[in-house]
Amino acid sequence: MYPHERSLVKRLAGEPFALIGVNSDKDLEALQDVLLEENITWRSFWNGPEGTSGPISTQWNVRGWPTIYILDHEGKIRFKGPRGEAMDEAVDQLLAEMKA
Amino acid sequence: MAKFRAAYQAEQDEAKRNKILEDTYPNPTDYAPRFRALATQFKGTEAGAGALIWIATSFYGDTQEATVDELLKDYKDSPLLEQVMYTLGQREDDESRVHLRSLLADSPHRNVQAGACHALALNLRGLAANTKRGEQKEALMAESRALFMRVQNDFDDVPYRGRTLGAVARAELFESDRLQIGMLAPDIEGADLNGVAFKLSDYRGKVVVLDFWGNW
Repeated sequence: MYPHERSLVKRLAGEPFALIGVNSDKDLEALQDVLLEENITWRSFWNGPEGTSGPISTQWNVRGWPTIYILDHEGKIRFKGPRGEAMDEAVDQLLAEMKA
Repeated sequence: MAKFRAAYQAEQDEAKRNKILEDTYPNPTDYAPRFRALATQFKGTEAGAGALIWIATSFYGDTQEATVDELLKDYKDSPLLEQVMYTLGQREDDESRVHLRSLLADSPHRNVQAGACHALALNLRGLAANTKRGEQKEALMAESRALFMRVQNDFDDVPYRGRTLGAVARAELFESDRLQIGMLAPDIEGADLNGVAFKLSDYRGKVVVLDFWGNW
Protein backbone atom coordinates (compact mmCIF):
# COMPACT_ATOMS: atom_id res chain seq x y z
CA MET A 1 0.00 0.00 0.00
CA TYR A 2 2.42 2.68 1.12
CA PRO A 3 5.09 1.87 -1.50
CA HIS A 4 2.56 2.23 -4.29
CA GLU A 5 1.30 5.54 -3.00
CA ARG A 6 4.85 6.79 -2.48
CA SER A 7 5.74 6.00 -6.07
CA LEU A 8 2.57 7.66 -7.39
CA VAL A 9 3.29 10.83 -5.43
CA LYS A 10 6.90 10.80 -6.58
CA ARG A 11 6.07 10.19 -10.23
CA LEU A 12 3.54 13.03 -10.31
CA ALA A 13 5.59 15.59 -8.39
CA GLY A 14 5.11 18.93 -10.15
CA GLU A 15 1.86 17.81 -11.80
CA PRO A 16 -1.54 19.24 -10.80
CA PHE A 17 -2.16 16.25 -8.58
CA ALA A 18 -2.62 15.63 -4.86
CA LEU A 19 -2.98 12.52 -2.75
CA ILE A 20 -5.12 13.43 0.25
CA GLY A 21 -5.66 10.93 3.03
CA VAL A 22 -8.33 10.58 5.66
CA ASN A 23 -6.46 8.86 8.44
CA SER A 24 -8.43 6.79 10.93
CA ASP A 25 -5.84 5.87 13.52
CA LYS A 26 -7.01 6.68 17.02
CA ASP A 27 -3.57 7.47 18.36
CA LEU A 28 -2.00 10.45 16.61
CA GLU A 29 1.22 10.30 18.66
CA ALA A 30 1.97 6.72 17.69
CA LEU A 31 1.21 7.56 14.07
CA GLN A 32 4.00 10.16 13.92
CA ASP A 33 6.61 7.36 13.99
CA VAL A 34 4.84 5.54 11.17
CA LEU A 35 4.81 8.71 9.05
CA LEU A 36 8.57 8.97 9.44
CA GLU A 37 9.36 5.29 9.00
CA GLU A 38 7.16 4.89 5.95
CA ASN A 39 8.06 8.28 4.52
CA ILE A 40 4.41 9.31 4.26
CA THR A 41 4.68 12.87 3.00
CA TRP A 42 1.17 13.41 1.71
CA ARG A 43 -1.39 15.32 3.70
CA SER A 44 -4.20 13.62 5.59
CA PHE A 45 -7.24 14.76 7.46
CA TRP A 46 -7.49 13.14 10.85
CA ASN A 47 -10.76 11.25 11.36
CA GLY A 48 -10.63 11.92 15.12
CA PRO A 49 -10.27 9.89 18.32
CA GLU A 50 -13.11 7.54 17.37
CA GLY A 51 -10.97 6.00 14.64
CA THR A 52 -12.95 4.28 11.92
CA SER A 53 -16.18 5.57 13.49
CA GLY A 54 -14.99 9.17 13.11
CA PRO A 55 -17.07 11.93 11.50
CA ILE A 56 -15.48 12.10 8.04
CA SER A 57 -15.62 8.38 7.25
CA THR A 58 -19.11 8.20 8.75
CA GLN A 59 -20.38 10.99 6.50
CA TRP A 60 -18.73 9.38 3.48
CA ASN A 61 -20.30 6.05 4.47
CA VAL A 62 -16.96 4.25 4.37
CA ARG A 63 -17.37 0.54 5.14
CA GLY A 64 -14.03 -0.85 4.02
CA TRP A 65 -10.44 0.29 4.48
CA PRO A 66 -8.80 1.55 2.44
CA THR A 67 -11.51 3.22 0.37
CA ILE A 68 -10.44 5.29 -2.62
CA TYR A 69 -12.24 8.11 -4.44
CA ILE A 70 -10.64 9.89 -7.38
CA LEU A 71 -11.77 13.44 -8.14
CA ASP A 72 -11.10 15.45 -11.29
CA HIS A 73 -9.74 18.98 -11.23
CA GLU A 74 -13.28 20.36 -10.92
CA GLY A 75 -13.86 18.37 -7.75
CA LYS A 76 -16.20 15.85 -9.35
CA ILE A 77 -16.13 12.20 -8.24
CA ARG A 78 -14.91 10.26 -11.28
CA PHE A 79 -13.78 6.90 -9.89
CA LYS A 80 -14.48 4.86 -6.79
CA GLY A 81 -12.23 2.13 -5.59
CA PRO A 82 -9.35 1.71 -8.05
CA ARG A 83 -6.14 0.44 -6.49
CA GLY A 84 -2.69 -0.29 -7.84
CA GLU A 85 -2.29 0.07 -11.57
CA ALA A 86 -5.95 0.95 -12.07
CA MET A 87 -5.45 3.90 -9.73
CA ASP A 88 -2.48 5.14 -11.76
CA GLU A 89 -4.39 4.78 -15.02
CA ALA A 90 -7.40 6.67 -13.65
CA VAL A 91 -5.20 9.54 -12.45
CA ASP A 92 -3.31 9.69 -15.75
CA GLN A 93 -6.60 9.79 -17.65
CA LEU A 94 -7.89 12.71 -15.58
CA LEU A 95 -4.61 14.60 -15.91
CA ALA A 96 -4.70 14.09 -19.70
CA GLU A 97 -8.33 15.30 -19.81
CA MET A 98 -7.41 18.38 -17.86
CA LYS A 99 -4.64 19.30 -20.27
CA ALA A 100 -6.66 18.56 -23.42
CA MET B 1 -10.14 -9.46 20.11
CA ALA B 2 -7.81 -6.75 21.45
CA LYS B 3 -5.75 -9.41 23.22
CA PHE B 4 -5.55 -11.44 20.02
CA ARG B 5 -4.42 -8.41 18.01
CA ALA B 6 -1.72 -7.51 20.51
CA ALA B 7 -0.34 -11.06 20.52
CA TYR B 8 -0.62 -11.35 16.74
CA GLN B 9 1.16 -8.08 16.08
CA ALA B 10 3.91 -8.77 18.60
CA GLU B 11 4.81 -12.02 16.83
CA GLN B 12 7.00 -11.54 13.77
CA ASP B 13 7.31 -15.16 12.71
CA GLU B 14 4.71 -16.07 10.06
CA ALA B 15 4.19 -19.66 11.24
CA LYS B 16 3.77 -18.65 14.87
CA ARG B 17 1.40 -15.88 13.79
CA ASN B 18 -0.76 -18.38 11.95
CA LYS B 19 -0.79 -20.62 15.01
CA ILE B 20 -2.13 -17.76 17.14
CA LEU B 21 -4.73 -17.07 14.49
CA GLU B 22 -5.87 -20.71 14.33
CA ASP B 23 -6.00 -21.10 18.11
CA THR B 24 -8.09 -17.96 18.49
CA TYR B 25 -10.41 -18.47 15.54
CA PRO B 26 -10.90 -22.19 14.84
CA ASN B 27 -11.24 -23.14 11.22
CA PRO B 28 -14.98 -23.37 10.40
CA THR B 29 -14.28 -26.30 8.08
CA ASP B 30 -13.58 -28.46 11.16
CA TYR B 31 -17.03 -27.72 12.58
CA ALA B 32 -19.14 -27.66 9.42
CA PRO B 33 -19.93 -31.42 9.41
CA ARG B 34 -21.29 -31.21 12.95
CA PHE B 35 -23.54 -28.26 12.10
CA ARG B 36 -24.62 -30.09 8.95
CA ALA B 37 -25.59 -33.10 11.09
CA LEU B 38 -27.54 -30.82 13.46
CA ALA B 39 -29.33 -29.25 10.49
CA THR B 40 -30.43 -32.70 9.32
CA GLN B 41 -31.38 -33.96 12.78
CA PHE B 42 -33.45 -30.89 13.63
CA LYS B 43 -34.79 -30.11 10.18
CA GLY B 44 -37.89 -27.92 10.29
CA THR B 45 -37.13 -26.48 13.75
CA GLU B 46 -35.42 -23.28 14.86
CA ALA B 47 -32.38 -25.37 15.85
CA GLY B 48 -32.17 -26.69 12.29
CA ALA B 49 -32.41 -23.16 10.92
CA GLY B 50 -29.77 -22.02 13.42
CA ALA B 51 -27.33 -24.70 12.28
CA LEU B 52 -27.71 -23.62 8.66
CA ILE B 53 -27.32 -19.97 9.65
CA TRP B 54 -24.01 -20.87 11.30
CA ILE B 55 -22.77 -22.49 8.08
CA ALA B 56 -24.07 -19.64 5.90
CA THR B 57 -22.34 -16.99 8.00
CA SER B 58 -19.06 -18.89 8.47
CA PHE B 59 -18.29 -19.49 4.79
CA TYR B 60 -18.13 -17.60 1.55
CA GLY B 61 -18.63 -18.70 -2.01
CA ASP B 62 -20.53 -21.82 -3.10
CA THR B 63 -21.06 -23.24 0.40
CA GLN B 64 -22.57 -19.98 1.57
CA GLU B 65 -24.74 -19.62 -1.50
CA ALA B 66 -26.09 -23.17 -1.34
CA THR B 67 -26.84 -22.86 2.38
CA VAL B 68 -28.67 -19.56 1.93
CA ASP B 69 -30.73 -21.20 -0.83
CA GLU B 70 -31.57 -24.03 1.54
CA LEU B 71 -32.66 -21.57 4.23
CA LEU B 72 -34.88 -19.71 1.76
CA LYS B 73 -36.49 -22.95 0.66
CA ASP B 74 -37.05 -24.59 4.06
CA TYR B 75 -37.21 -21.70 6.52
CA LYS B 76 -38.79 -18.75 4.74
CA ASP B 77 -40.77 -17.83 7.87
CA SER B 78 -37.82 -17.95 10.30
CA PRO B 79 -36.73 -14.76 12.09
CA LEU B 80 -33.12 -15.97 11.74
CA LEU B 81 -33.17 -15.16 8.02
CA GLU B 82 -32.31 -11.59 9.03
CA GLN B 83 -28.70 -12.76 9.36
CA VAL B 84 -28.36 -13.67 5.69
CA MET B 85 -30.20 -10.72 4.14
CA TYR B 86 -27.02 -8.74 3.51
CA THR B 87 -25.38 -11.75 1.83
CA LEU B 88 -28.44 -12.31 -0.31
CA GLY B 89 -28.45 -8.64 -1.29
CA GLN B 90 -24.90 -8.88 -2.56
CA ARG B 91 -25.85 -11.39 -5.23
CA GLU B 92 -26.37 -10.14 -8.74
CA ASP B 93 -28.97 -12.56 -10.10
CA ASP B 94 -32.65 -11.65 -10.59
CA GLU B 95 -33.78 -14.54 -8.43
CA SER B 96 -32.17 -13.03 -5.32
CA ARG B 97 -34.16 -9.87 -5.86
CA VAL B 98 -37.35 -11.95 -6.16
CA HIS B 99 -36.52 -13.55 -2.79
CA LEU B 100 -35.83 -10.18 -1.15
CA ARG B 101 -39.08 -8.74 -2.47
CA SER B 102 -41.10 -11.67 -1.22
CA LEU B 103 -39.46 -11.59 2.24
CA LEU B 104 -40.10 -7.86 2.49
CA ALA B 105 -43.76 -8.44 1.66
CA ASP B 106 -44.45 -11.76 3.35
CA SER B 107 -42.05 -12.53 6.21
CA PRO B 108 -43.96 -12.66 9.49
CA HIS B 109 -40.98 -11.02 11.20
CA ARG B 110 -40.34 -7.31 11.15
CA ASN B 111 -36.55 -7.75 11.50
CA VAL B 112 -36.47 -9.92 8.36
CA GLN B 113 -38.66 -7.45 6.44
CA ALA B 114 -36.30 -4.68 7.55
CA GLY B 115 -33.16 -6.55 6.50
CA ALA B 116 -34.72 -7.47 3.15
CA CYS B 117 -35.77 -3.87 2.52
CA HIS B 118 -32.26 -2.57 3.20
CA ALA B 119 -30.52 -5.35 1.28
CA LEU B 120 -32.78 -4.81 -1.73
CA ALA B 121 -32.06 -1.07 -1.68
CA LEU B 122 -28.31 -1.80 -1.72
CA ASN B 123 -28.72 -4.42 -4.42
CA LEU B 124 -30.68 -2.12 -6.75
CA ARG B 125 -28.12 0.66 -6.31
CA GLY B 126 -25.40 -1.79 -7.31
CA LEU B 127 -27.45 -2.81 -10.31
CA ALA B 128 -27.89 0.86 -11.25
CA ALA B 129 -24.12 1.37 -11.12
CA ASN B 130 -23.71 -1.43 -13.67
CA THR B 131 -26.50 -0.17 -15.93
CA LYS B 132 -25.49 2.05 -18.84
CA ARG B 133 -28.86 3.23 -20.12
CA GLY B 134 -29.89 6.49 -18.50
CA GLU B 135 -33.60 5.89 -18.10
CA GLN B 136 -33.26 2.41 -16.65
CA LYS B 137 -30.43 3.54 -14.37
CA GLU B 138 -32.57 6.41 -13.06
CA ALA B 139 -35.49 4.08 -12.36
CA LEU B 140 -33.28 1.70 -10.38
CA MET B 141 -31.78 4.55 -8.35
CA ALA B 142 -35.28 5.89 -7.65
CA GLU B 143 -36.50 2.51 -6.42
CA SER B 144 -33.38 2.04 -4.30
CA ARG B 145 -33.91 5.48 -2.82
CA ALA B 146 -37.55 4.74 -2.02
CA LEU B 147 -36.52 1.56 -0.22
CA PHE B 148 -33.90 3.38 1.89
CA MET B 149 -36.66 5.89 2.77
CA ARG B 150 -38.91 3.02 3.72
CA VAL B 151 -36.21 1.65 6.03
CA GLN B 152 -36.14 5.03 7.79
CA ASN B 153 -39.91 5.29 7.98
CA ASP B 154 -40.85 1.74 8.90
CA PHE B 155 -37.73 0.12 10.39
CA ASP B 156 -35.79 3.04 11.90
CA ASP B 157 -35.15 1.39 15.29
CA VAL B 158 -34.17 -2.12 14.11
CA PRO B 159 -30.66 -2.93 15.45
CA TYR B 160 -27.99 -3.45 12.80
CA ARG B 161 -24.30 -4.14 13.43
CA GLY B 162 -24.10 -2.01 16.56
CA ARG B 163 -26.16 0.82 15.05
CA THR B 164 -29.77 1.11 13.95
CA LEU B 165 -30.95 0.34 10.47
CA GLY B 166 -32.42 3.84 10.22
CA ALA B 167 -29.01 5.43 10.83
CA VAL B 168 -27.39 3.12 8.30
CA ALA B 169 -30.08 3.89 5.71
CA ARG B 170 -29.55 7.64 6.21
CA ALA B 171 -25.84 7.19 5.51
CA GLU B 172 -26.63 5.09 2.44
CA LEU B 173 -29.00 7.77 1.16
CA PHE B 174 -26.23 10.35 1.53
CA GLU B 175 -24.06 8.06 -0.58
CA SER B 176 -26.83 7.69 -3.17
CA ASP B 177 -27.45 11.42 -3.37
CA ARG B 178 -23.99 12.91 -2.95
CA LEU B 179 -21.29 10.30 -3.54
CA GLN B 180 -22.06 8.86 -6.97
CA ILE B 181 -19.73 9.06 -9.93
CA GLY B 182 -20.18 12.38 -11.74
CA MET B 183 -21.29 14.26 -8.62
CA LEU B 184 -19.38 17.17 -7.08
CA ALA B 185 -17.63 15.71 -4.03
CA PRO B 186 -18.92 17.00 -0.68
CA ASP B 187 -16.33 19.27 0.90
CA ILE B 188 -14.33 18.03 3.87
CA GLU B 189 -13.24 20.51 6.51
CA GLY B 190 -10.87 19.28 9.15
CA ALA B 191 -7.35 19.33 10.48
CA ASP B 192 -4.29 17.51 9.17
CA LEU B 193 -2.09 15.24 11.27
CA ASN B 194 -0.20 18.29 12.56
CA GLY B 195 -3.41 19.98 13.62
CA VAL B 196 -3.45 22.47 10.73
CA ALA B 197 -6.95 23.21 9.39
CA PHE B 198 -7.62 22.66 5.69
CA LYS B 199 -10.39 21.76 3.26
CA LEU B 200 -10.70 19.26 0.47
CA SER B 201 -11.84 22.10 -1.80
CA ASP B 202 -8.44 23.79 -1.28
CA TYR B 203 -7.26 21.27 -3.88
CA ARG B 204 -9.76 22.27 -6.57
CA GLY B 205 -7.82 22.61 -9.83
CA LYS B 206 -5.89 19.43 -9.14
CA VAL B 207 -6.68 15.80 -9.72
CA VAL B 208 -7.17 14.33 -6.23
CA VAL B 209 -6.89 10.78 -4.95
CA LEU B 210 -8.84 10.71 -1.69
CA ASP B 211 -7.61 7.77 0.33
CA PHE B 212 -9.37 6.65 3.52
CA TRP B 213 -6.55 4.84 5.30
CA GLY B 214 -5.22 3.70 8.64
CA ASN B 215 -2.05 2.07 9.87
CA TRP B 216 -3.33 -1.31 11.04
